[in-house]
Amino acid sequence: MRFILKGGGAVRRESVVGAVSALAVFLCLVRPAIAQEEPTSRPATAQVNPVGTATSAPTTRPTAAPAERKLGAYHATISGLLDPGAVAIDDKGRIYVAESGRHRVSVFDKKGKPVRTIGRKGSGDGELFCPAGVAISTNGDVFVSDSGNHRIVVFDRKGQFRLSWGGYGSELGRLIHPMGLSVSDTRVSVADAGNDRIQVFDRRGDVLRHFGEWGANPGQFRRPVDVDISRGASFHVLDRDNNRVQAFDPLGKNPRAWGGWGPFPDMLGAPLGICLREYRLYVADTANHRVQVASLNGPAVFQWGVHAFMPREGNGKLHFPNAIAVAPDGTFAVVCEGFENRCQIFGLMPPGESPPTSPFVQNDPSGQSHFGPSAGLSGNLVALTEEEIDQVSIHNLLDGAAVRISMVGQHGVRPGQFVRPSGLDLDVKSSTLVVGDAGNRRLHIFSLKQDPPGQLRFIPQMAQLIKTLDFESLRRTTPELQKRPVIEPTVVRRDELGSLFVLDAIQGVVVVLSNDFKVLRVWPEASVGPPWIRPTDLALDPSGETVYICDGGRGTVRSYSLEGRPRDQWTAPELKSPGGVAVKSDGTLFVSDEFSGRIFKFDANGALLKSWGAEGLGAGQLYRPRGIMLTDAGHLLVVDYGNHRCQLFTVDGKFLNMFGAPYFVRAARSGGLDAKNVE
Amino acid sequence: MFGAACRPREDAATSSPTSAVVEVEFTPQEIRRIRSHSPLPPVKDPTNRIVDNELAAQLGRLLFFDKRLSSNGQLSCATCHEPARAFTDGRPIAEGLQPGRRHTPSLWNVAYNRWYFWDGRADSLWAQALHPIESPAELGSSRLAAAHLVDGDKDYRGMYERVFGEMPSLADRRRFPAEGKPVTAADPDADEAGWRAMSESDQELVNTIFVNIGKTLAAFESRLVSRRSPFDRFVEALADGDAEEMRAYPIAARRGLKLFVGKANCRSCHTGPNFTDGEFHDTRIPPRADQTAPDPGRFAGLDEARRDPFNAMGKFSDRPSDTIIEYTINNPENWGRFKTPTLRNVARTAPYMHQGQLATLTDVVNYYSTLEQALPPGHHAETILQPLHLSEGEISDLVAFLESLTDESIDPAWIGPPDTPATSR
Amino acid sequence: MRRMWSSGGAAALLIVAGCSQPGDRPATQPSASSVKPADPPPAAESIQLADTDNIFQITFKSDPFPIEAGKPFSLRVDVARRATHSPIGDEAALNVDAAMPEHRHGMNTQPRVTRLGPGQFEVKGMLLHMSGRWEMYFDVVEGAMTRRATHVLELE
Repeated sequence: MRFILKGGGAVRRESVVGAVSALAVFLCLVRPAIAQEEPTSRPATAQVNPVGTATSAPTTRPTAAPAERKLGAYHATISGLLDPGAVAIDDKGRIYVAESGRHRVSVFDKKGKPVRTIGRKGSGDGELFCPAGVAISTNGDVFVSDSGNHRIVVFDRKGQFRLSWGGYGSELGRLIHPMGLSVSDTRVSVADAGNDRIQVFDRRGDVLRHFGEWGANPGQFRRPVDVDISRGASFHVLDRDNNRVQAFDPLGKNPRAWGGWGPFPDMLGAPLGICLREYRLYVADTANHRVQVASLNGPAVFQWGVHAFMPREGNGKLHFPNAIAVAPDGTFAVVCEGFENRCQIFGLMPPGESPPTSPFVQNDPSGQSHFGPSAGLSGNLVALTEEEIDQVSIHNLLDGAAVRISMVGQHGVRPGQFVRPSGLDLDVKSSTLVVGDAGNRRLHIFSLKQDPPGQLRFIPQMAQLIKTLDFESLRRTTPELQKRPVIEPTVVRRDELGSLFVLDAIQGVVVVLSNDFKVLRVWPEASVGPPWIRPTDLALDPSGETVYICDGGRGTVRSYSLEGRPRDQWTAPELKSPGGVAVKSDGTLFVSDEFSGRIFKFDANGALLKSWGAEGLGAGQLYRPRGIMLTDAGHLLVVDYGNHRCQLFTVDGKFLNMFGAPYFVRAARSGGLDAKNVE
Repeated sequence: MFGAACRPREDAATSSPTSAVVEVEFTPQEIRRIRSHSPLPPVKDPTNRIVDNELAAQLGRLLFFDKRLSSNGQLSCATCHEPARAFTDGRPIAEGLQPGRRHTPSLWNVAYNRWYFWDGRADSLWAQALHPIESPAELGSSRLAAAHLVDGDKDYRGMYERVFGEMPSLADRRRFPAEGKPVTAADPDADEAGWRAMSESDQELVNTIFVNIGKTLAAFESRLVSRRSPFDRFVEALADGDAEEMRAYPIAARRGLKLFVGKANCRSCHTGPNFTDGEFHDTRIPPRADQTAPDPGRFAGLDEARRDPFNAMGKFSDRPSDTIIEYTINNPENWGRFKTPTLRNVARTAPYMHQGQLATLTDVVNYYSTLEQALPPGHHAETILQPLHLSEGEISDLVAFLESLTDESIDPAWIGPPDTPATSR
Repeated sequence: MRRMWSSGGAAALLIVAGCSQPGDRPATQPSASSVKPADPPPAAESIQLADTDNIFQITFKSDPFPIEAGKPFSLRVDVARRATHSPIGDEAALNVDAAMPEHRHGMNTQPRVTRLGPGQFEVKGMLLHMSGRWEMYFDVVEGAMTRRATHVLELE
């Protein structure tokens, strides 16, 4: 293996076997500054809409030409995948799915029959960890965003390793958690999500161009998760936490945006996938459970996708779609739902017909109780995020028959408003709630009005905002943070002294703050890079001496001193993807496994004491469980994330109670609900 | 403590069979709220320097009734804003040259709005008046045609010049084509070739005349004020402590008023002397079956207002500073929101809601009472809206109160179609 | 290894009400004459508040006074440090907003804050468009921290 170091310390590796063609590709062909977009029916003087606008007169919308057939007719499902997060289709109609959970790209024919797999778990040549992007070049090479290794890996069409480049970091040529990517003859454009920018490489990994930085202004991004290129070489970037699509000219300049957060046409909800085909943009509009199809300028032309209500429903209905690809010939599309471990294949509707879609008003009665993966628990209160509406709900536990007593916040960018609230820490003694706002990169600290014990009622204004900590500003004033991306507070935990431990799961870093919000330390060091592939949770032991971090990528739980010095590691053969961890004062560990739906109990020395649970809908069965917390009564609360509910167990695994979304709670009571059995 | 204890009237027509309350007492808080609804203050519009000018209002009135303002000569403003029908048309959906999308608002007390149209896409009454002239669904005309109308009519020209000063001749048809306009929100598909061929200064000239036409229309419409409804007389009597005068107010209306400022909480959005907060809400009323295109309402309307060169910040405004539009911001919550209409003269402006979905006032009160058929709340729900669960008697009392807001007393010389030869086509 | 307590650690966990209610520290006495119908005592023109941690003192007046539903108004705000009684300088900034939390909506306007001098601000573009319970937020931004003082007012 040749080992080549490129500028900025970026690492590129090439395979001698199957070396890249010796033909030099000349780059930076100057394209016209205005990409050749399709003419729309908009009048010439109309401005392209700034973010968050829509015209009121339907006649100005570009309409599909009479002969155009729309995608959206459900054909088939590829099931049995593990955390699919990206998909691409080559010109033979073969479907390439990046299976993050199996650390490989799985290839299927257009009917869904398996063809081969590419890559295997690891960090060496030809190995992958949690791939999050895939694209096929015209000569059949497969480009993969090897997100867990923070690099791009290239395979030939037979699956043989060709080369890789990147490596963890923020200098040019390095990447942090790269996600969607797009390949043309000459360029590889990568959504460098962890660095909030787009990097454009040539086919050998040299940086041609980069643009973007964290922010909400035109040309800035807040978590760019995918990118696609038009025929005119303009970029279309899916800017997740700004809930918009930004278009740029081939030089990465002149941004134009459409979108805005919401469920109506032209609006997006934390979208995760974009694909450009024939002057149309297809967006996997994740939290809106649909695919939106837009013209290259926005606005939306049509949408497809009926929100799946029944557990695991599928059959053409969508639940948090996170990736989309359209075949080069436009005859079919593949939509991934990572949450449901499947991809669905859609074909063309009959001419003139539109695909089935949910009414534009979100009418899911369980729109609340889309609990996020994290929980904050203290005393008899538990706080959970609401992923569809960007709020936080507070419940009175009542021994598991929890009752929601308040809602905190709303979607927005101001203090006390959230975009993708993620981390939560509740403390009844100080009557405070800390919300880690992943989208705004901010901590919000609320004081809580609590009722006297025994009183149970809805308290509309339970939480009052006291103060916020803005991580972008903190970066400017803190030397250890200046060279790093803006911290995302994915998980937040406080110890008894009020120090805050903030895990940024994308960057892979822990920031420790004093209770007056001074940065005490940041680990690991920037030069070292994170020891975790996909950190999913952070917990503190009750004595406040040890920090525990789950690594969903490696399948381990590791403990650290408060300064970040590694101590011990917990693992088990059946433990595939730890999604949450809780610690008792005697060091007993409880770990949830996202992929098997089981809970694992270890002692302080690493011995596996017991495990329980199974994947499913029934009482005691879990689907993609995540956060796990110890209650005051000594029970375990598990966020049964994939089932939109929480379950309570004894520390020995006996099921006690559950609460959450009505369909999913009812399903447990009736012993399982099959979509076929309902209506 | 001053409580308004009222004796019941021997009036079978206004007493409700289920209502046993014979005395309607108002608490001090209710009295404060009641008094906030009257009287109407004087009309003010700093963006229109001639709004109080009587001659301008006369010219505006003549134009209001003039069918030559439409491209086919058959329609005028008064076609949809009929004086005899409380300055609306009695239809669910407006229809000018083409069917529209929404219900025609009444022009009674229109001058008190902060925003105009159901979606607030105009921020002054004079700017609003310009849209229907150029909209293909309404009068289907153009600013050039409107300017030529004033230029070519001797009387109009004379009145115009006495209000605004000298008006240059538009006789040169090469400089000033007979018709033409730029693309605007009112007509996004306009053929602007003729307009674009004009010089910038000529365009400016025509725009100024067009704006002034709007300002005279606004001067006229600003006189359509109803100040002396039975409710207003009641509030005056309340403030004066005139028990005799207060007794003249029907008992059912008094009961309805108590609900309005109390339990039914209508005053929460129908605030102040004009019975509207002037802003935008989502009542979750379902769209008509024949109007299926999603209507973004305020969400689109605010952006259109901000782009409108005739808005209060623009150079045609007579006070472009200190406007509300310069601070107003849009957000996705505005999707599907429509303006709270006034309730003055509401009994005369059926049907109701932005697409005329509800035929009678009883239907409206019933809707808020049950929220039957209301669209599901969604993320952006108007959380103040909860079904009121009113009794039949309470519903009819509220309707009685709303009926007491009627006052169409105005000098008929103002609102009858003018008797001039020019308009008697 | 024992953790060191950082200074002010415990104190920061105590919550001091960062809110004021209508009628805080009134500057005038309620009117003694009987008005028919009875009116509540007039609110004070100048209101003082502090954030929860008692770092900043905020004093504001509205123009016009009093604040009424549906009527645009501006504010004159003074911000000083409670510890030193000195006005804030360039190191801190002020943002002002308002909302009706029960209705889950804020104002339809975004006010503009202009600095007139050390610790002195003018806020234009305020409009509380509905009657009911409003919260006015005075957010003092210093470095990475934003501290909020909330004033509650009930508009008829």
